[in-house]
Amino acid sequence: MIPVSLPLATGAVLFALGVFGVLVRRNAIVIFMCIELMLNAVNLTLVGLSSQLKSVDGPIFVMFVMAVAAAEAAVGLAIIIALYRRKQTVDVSHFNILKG
Amino acid sequence: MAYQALYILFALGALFGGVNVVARRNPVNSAIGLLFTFICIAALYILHGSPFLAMIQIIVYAGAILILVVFTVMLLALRDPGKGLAKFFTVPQKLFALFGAALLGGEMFYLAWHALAGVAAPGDADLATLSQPATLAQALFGKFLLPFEVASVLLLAAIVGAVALTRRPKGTAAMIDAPHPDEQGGPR
Repeated sequence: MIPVSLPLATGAVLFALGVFGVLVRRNAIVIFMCIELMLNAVNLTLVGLSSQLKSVDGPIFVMFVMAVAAAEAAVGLAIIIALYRRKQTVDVSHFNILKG
Repeated sequence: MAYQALYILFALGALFGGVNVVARRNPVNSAIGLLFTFICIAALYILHGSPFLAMIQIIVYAGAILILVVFTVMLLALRDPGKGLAKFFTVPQKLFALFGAALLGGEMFYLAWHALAGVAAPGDADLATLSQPATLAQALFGKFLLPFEVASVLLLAAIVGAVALTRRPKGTAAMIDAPHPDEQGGPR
């Protein structure tokens, strides 16, 4: 039997890695991949806790997270392509027209 | 015990892939690190007794989402990422980001390792029965039927949104084929 600490700790470290990546990287595609990393960390946490609590709700939530991640991938990559069309780059430091 | 050793091995593999995603300069290398993480997490799902979720993970994440990402990287043909405004994030900002992420991760790690370690299983349901696709399907199409339908509407909206975002307006058909400003030897 796997102790519940293991998935939770792995998920925590993976999530923090994703947050760090979103904060420091400037390539929009890499930022998108870091978001996927965070979603996976949350999924791992849900599966670990639900296998500890013997509940079926965790895997169901994971499926919904995957559906939302798929929708996010389609729209997010479309946004990235639209950004590239406008400025020929996906470096987010070039997109600062909202900066005061 | 062997399960735990395997679990730690795959967890370290997932973390290794995550470090690759964040640290590699080339987006393709990041994508391969992400693929490694997805496969390791699928293995962790199997060790948790959810082989069905592991298959879904491989199909949806490694099969669909990652291919889409790699396809976008290939379509955009990124040249020399980070040129120009390379000093946008200075070293103190990076340190601050590292501090914030480490604080968040450390807090969650501490909670996981200490506070939640004593969570006991309330029910006596069999884990092998719970992870069956039939059990999942009964929950998905029974208790969670409304969220399931809402998710299908969300996916439809995402399809429409993606098409609407990438549809090029009239008169800009050749824009994407224009040479990159940094490209050497191209028409000036």
